Amino acid sequence: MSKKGLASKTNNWGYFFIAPFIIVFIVFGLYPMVYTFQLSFQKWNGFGAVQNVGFENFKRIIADSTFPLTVKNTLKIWLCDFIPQLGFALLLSMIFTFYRIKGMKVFRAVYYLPNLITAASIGLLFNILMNGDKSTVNQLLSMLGVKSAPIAFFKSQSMTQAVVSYILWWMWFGYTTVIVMAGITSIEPDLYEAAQIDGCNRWQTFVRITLPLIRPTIIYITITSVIGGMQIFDVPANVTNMQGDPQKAILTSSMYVYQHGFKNNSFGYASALSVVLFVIIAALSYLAFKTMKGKEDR
Amino acid sequence: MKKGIKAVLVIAFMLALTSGFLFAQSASESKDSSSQDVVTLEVWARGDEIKQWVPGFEAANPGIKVNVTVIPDQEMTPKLITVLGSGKGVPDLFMQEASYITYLVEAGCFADLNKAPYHINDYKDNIWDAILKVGTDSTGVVRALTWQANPGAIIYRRDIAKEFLGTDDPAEVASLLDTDEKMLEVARKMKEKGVSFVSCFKDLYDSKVASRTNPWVVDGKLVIDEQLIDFMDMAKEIIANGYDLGVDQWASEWIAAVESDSLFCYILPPWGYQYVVKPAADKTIGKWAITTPSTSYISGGSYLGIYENTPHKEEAWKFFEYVMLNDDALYEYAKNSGDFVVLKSVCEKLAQSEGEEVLGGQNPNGMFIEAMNHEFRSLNTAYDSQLNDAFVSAIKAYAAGIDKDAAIEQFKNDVKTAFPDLIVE
Repeated sequence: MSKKGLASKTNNWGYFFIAPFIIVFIVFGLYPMVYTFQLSFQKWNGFGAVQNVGFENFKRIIADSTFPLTVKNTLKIWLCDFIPQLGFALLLSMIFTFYRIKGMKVFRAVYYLPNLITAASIGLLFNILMNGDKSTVNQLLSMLGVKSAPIAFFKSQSMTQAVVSYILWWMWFGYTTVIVMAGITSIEPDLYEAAQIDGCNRWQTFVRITLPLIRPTIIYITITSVIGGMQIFDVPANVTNMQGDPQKAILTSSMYVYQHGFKNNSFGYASALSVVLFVIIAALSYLAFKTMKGKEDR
Repeated sequence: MKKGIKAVLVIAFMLALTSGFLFAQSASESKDSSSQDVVTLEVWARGDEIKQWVPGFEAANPGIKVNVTVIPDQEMTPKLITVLGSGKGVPDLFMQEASYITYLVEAGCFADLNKAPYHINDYKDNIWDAILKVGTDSTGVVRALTWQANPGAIIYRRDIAKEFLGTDDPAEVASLLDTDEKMLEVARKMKEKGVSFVSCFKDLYDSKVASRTNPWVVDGKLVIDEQLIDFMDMAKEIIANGYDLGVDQWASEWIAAVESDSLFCYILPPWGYQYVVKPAADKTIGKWAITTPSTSYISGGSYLGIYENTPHKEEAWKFFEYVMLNDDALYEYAKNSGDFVVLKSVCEKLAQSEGEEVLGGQNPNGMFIEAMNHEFRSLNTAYDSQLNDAFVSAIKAYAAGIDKDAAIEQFKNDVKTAFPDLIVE
C-alpha cells in the first residue's frame, strides 16, 4: 500500500468529534491545573506582586498540624459514608434482582432522587432541620418522647461527623445501587441457570457468581468515590458554619484549601495544598485499584 | 480537496464553540457604544438594600442607570481579585462588610475619595468621625464609606425587662446591665424561668471585640486583648448554661425568636433593629425597646467604595454622593428602615421625628447620637474577619470542655498557620 493510501485511511473526523470536549477541558480543566501547579511555588495575596518562593509552601505544609487533621476528617467521613453505601447498594441490588418487588422501578427512582438536589442546598436544609433546640428534628424527637431531646447535634464532634456521613450516604446510595444493578444486568443469565441446575441457593449464587463478576463495577464505584469523597466540600461547609465547627470536626481538606485561598487570600499555599491533595487522591485511587485488581488476577 | 473541507469544518466548529465568548465580549462592547447617552454603573453589593436608592437616583439623573449585583461577603474579595487581575468586568463601585473592608482599603483598589472629581472633604465635618476612620487607609486617605452609623445597642423586650428588672426604662435597663457580672446574674434568673438572656453569645463577643483596647495586629504582631481572654469565661457560662438560644446568628431560630416570649434581648447595633427585629415583629410590635450600653462602641456596617480605574468617575461619585451624602435620600431611608445614618445633620433631624411603632413609640436616635459622640479607637485590621472567626471557634471549643490555655494555644496555632508572616508569641 502506498504512503498516500495509508494517509487517506487515517480518520481525521475523530478530532472533529472530540474537539468540544478537548477545548472545554483545556480552558476549564487543564489550564487551571497547570496554573495551580505553578502557583504552588509562589506567594500571592490576590492584589500584590507574585513572588517565587520555591518549595516554601510545601515546607509549610509539613509543619502544618491542621492539614493532616483535615485529611483524617475527610477519610473518616468518607469511610463512614462509603462502606454502608456499598453494603446497602449490594443488598438492594440483590433484593431487586432476585425477588420480584412490585414498584421496583419507583423505589429505584426515589432512592436516586436526593442525588439530584445540589449538595449545598442539602447541607443548608439539614442545618435548618437539626440546628437548635427548637429545630424540626428536635421537636419531632420531643414529640416522640425521646428523653435526651433536644439534642445538640452540632456541639458534639462525632455526632456532627456522623450527620455529614449520613447525609452523604443518603445522597449517594441510590446512585450506587443503580450502577451495581447495571453491573448485575450485564451478567450472562446462562451462568445463573447453570448455578440453579447445580443446586446453588440465592445466597451462594450472589456470593459465587454475582459478586466476582461485578468486581469491575465495584472498582469503578470505589475509585470514583475516593476521588469525590476526598473532595467533599458543600455538605460539611453548609451543615455548620464553614469553619468546620465544632472544633474542626468536619473541616475537610477541600474546605481547608478554600479557607486558605479565598478567606486568607493565600493563593500560593492553597495551591500547594491542592497539589498535595491531588497526590493523596491519586495514591488512594491507585491503592484501591491495585488491591481489587490484584484479587481479580488471583 | 476533501482534506481541505474537513479542515475548514473543524475550524468552523471550533470557532462556533468559542463564538459564545466572542459574542459575549462584542455584545458588552456594543452595549457601551450603542448607549452613548446613558451610562450604566455596575455596583457589586453585599445585599439588596442599596437597590432602594436606585429609582430615586435614576429619576434625578436621567443619563445614568445603575445595575446592582448582590454578592455574599465571603465571595466578594475572590471575585474582585479575578476581575481586577484581568482588568475586565470590574464594577464601578463595590461594597464589603466592615470586618473585610480594611483588606480592600489597603489593597489600593478603591479610589481616593478626596481626589477630583471626588470631594468627600466637603462633607467631612458632617460625617461621624469613627465611621470615616473605618474606610480610611493607613496613610490617612478615605477610600470607602457606609451610609450607616452603628453604635452598640441592646434591643430588648419591655415586658421581660419589667418582670426581671422591675423597669423597662432604657436608661435604667442600661445601668442594671452595665457590667458582665450584672448581666450574668440577670441571665441566671431568667434561665430559671425558661427565658434566654441574649440571642447568641456572639452578640456579646462582637461588643467586646469592638470595645477592646488593642486591634488584632500591632506592628505585625498578634495581640489577644485581655478583654477577649476574660470574655471566654463569660461566653462559656452563657453557652454551657443555655443563657443564649444555642444557635448561630442569622440561623432561622435566631430570627424567629423575635416573636417568642423566651428571649430577652439582641445585642446588636441599629442595623440589628432594622434587619432582625423590625421585619420579624408582628405580635410583639410595641413590646421592644432600645438602650445603649454603658461602654460605647461601633460594630459592622456595609462600606462602599469607587473602583480606582473606573471610566465613569463623575457618575460613580454622583451615585456615591446620593446614597451616602444626600440629606433627603438618607432621611427618607432612615425613617422607613429604622436605621441610624452616617450624616450628623440627618441624625439630628431623626432625633426630632416620631418614634418607632415596634419600640412602643420610642425614638432611640438621641441615644445613638450621644453614643456616637464618644471617642473610638481605630481597631480595624486586614485580618479581622479571619481572626474573629478563629477566636469564636476557640471560645466554642473552650465552652465544649477543652482547657482555656489549650483553646488559646489552638487559636494561636491557627493564626500561625493562616498567616505565617505574623509574629505570634
